[in-house]
Amino acid sequence: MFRLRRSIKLALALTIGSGVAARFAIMVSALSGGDPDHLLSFPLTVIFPAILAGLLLATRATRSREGALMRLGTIIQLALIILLPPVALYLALGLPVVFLVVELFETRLPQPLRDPIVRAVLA
Amino acid sequence: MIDIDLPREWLWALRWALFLGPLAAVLLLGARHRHEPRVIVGGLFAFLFGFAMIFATHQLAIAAGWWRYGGDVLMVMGLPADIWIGGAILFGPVLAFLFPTIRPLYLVLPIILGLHGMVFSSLDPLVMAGPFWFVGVVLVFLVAHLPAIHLARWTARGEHLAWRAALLALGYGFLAFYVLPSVIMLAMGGSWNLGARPLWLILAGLPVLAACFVLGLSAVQMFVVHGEGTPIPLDPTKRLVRTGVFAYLINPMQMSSALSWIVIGVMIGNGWVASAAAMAWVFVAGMVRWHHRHDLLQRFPDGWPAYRANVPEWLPRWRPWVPEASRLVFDPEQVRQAAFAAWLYRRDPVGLNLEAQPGVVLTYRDPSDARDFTAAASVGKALGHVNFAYALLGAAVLLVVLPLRHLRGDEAYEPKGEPVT
Repeated sequence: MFRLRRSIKLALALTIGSGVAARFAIMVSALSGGDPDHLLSFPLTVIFPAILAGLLLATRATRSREGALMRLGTIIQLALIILLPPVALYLALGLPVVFLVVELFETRLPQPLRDPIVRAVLA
Repeated sequence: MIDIDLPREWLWALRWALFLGPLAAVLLLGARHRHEPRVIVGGLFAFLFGFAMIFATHQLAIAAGWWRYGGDVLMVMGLPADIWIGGAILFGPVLAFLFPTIRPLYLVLPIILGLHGMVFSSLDPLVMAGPFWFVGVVLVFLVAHLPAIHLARWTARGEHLAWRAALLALGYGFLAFYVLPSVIMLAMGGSWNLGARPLWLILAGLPVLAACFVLGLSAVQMFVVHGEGTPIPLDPTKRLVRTGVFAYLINPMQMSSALSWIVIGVMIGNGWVASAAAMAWVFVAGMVRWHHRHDLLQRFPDGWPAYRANVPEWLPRWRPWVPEASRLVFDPEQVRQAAFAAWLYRRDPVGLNLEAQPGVVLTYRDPSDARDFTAAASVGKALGHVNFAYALLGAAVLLVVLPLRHLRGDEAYEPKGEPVT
């Protein structure tokens, strides 16, 4: 069974939490300036990806290594969606690329390079 | 009918609630059903179906002037994405999880008559009702919400496989070929304005698009008929499907999607939509191969490796790969049956034995399958043994004949004749 290392999970949770906090601050600032757009987009563009990332972080170990890596890739993509709102739509449309990257990583990267990286992120 | 002016802040709160309310509900209800995977998968299918069909029906409503949404935040072709997704969650998995035994029609009727009837015209400027808005609401419920709840329920109970697969195919069709191109054009620019494109291009594109759809839909049908499952790995087939279009290529659905995106992109003159075909390749390379290794190879260790070794992923074989010969039994005294058998014989069908037996209805029998295909259905199946072009023709025949027989009841309308030995 494969799962993300606790340190990796913590780093991801902190990154996503910081992103949510930053977006919240931007929303409050914009609202005090009379602009409700950030308020209206907050649930879909911040809360929703954060919840999805949280669910992926909380899920149990996977049977395959690729499964765990795909989960990691998706969480990173969700974190980027929260952190980079101007390109969030492009990132969402490009989600399948995460799976391709994992497949290439698993099938094409030389083992001496691949294994240390996997050991660093998966337990 | 209530007709009040809500303060702006209330409308902001309402918009939050319309998204976060269903989201919170589905998380709580999903957690309650977390040990029932079929219920969860049913909820997911209901959401995806509703997601596609809500968009399609709302586009119709907006075009017909039944209603329109105000504001410019998160708008996708005039539809606020958060309200759209919230609606797909609420009128799909949430209602299906919350009321698993109440008939879906009884579930949605009070919502149509009560909630929408009472408050729809009070939501200006969030949504501005036009004439005949009630017709639009009924249409959205009939086409999007009601089938979504049925899909969730049927998937959870593992019943009505053919209807389930049909709804999944319909939902996927709208999702892949209407919602996705619309979102791509939102990001990259472009529009569905076909009126500005040359007529000959549209007319030339439509038959090609139809052939692509036949390929994809036939794959779904083969999964149902021969695999006793749906194309979605979360609701998988019980048997490895290697017949029909699958005898020519491993990924007919992905191939169909990729070609359709290219054709649609050419028809509307949008390279970005056409380039979605690359995403289909990315999906196969990244996700489907992984699924093949970790699911199909595990479940079908005898059949999958030989199939994988003989059938290409993308570029179809011209002649099919048939591991076990099927039979086409015909009555030599029936002129049309005999003529069809002779026509087939001249084309040297792969893995198909032609057998004459007086008095029978034209019957196709696959040794790996418990059921027979008779009359027009047997013609469709037999054509699949000639070459890829005829296989597509046969697939089109089966896409018409088998659903019609299913609708009328297979047994009652099965052609009668001597039993095939």
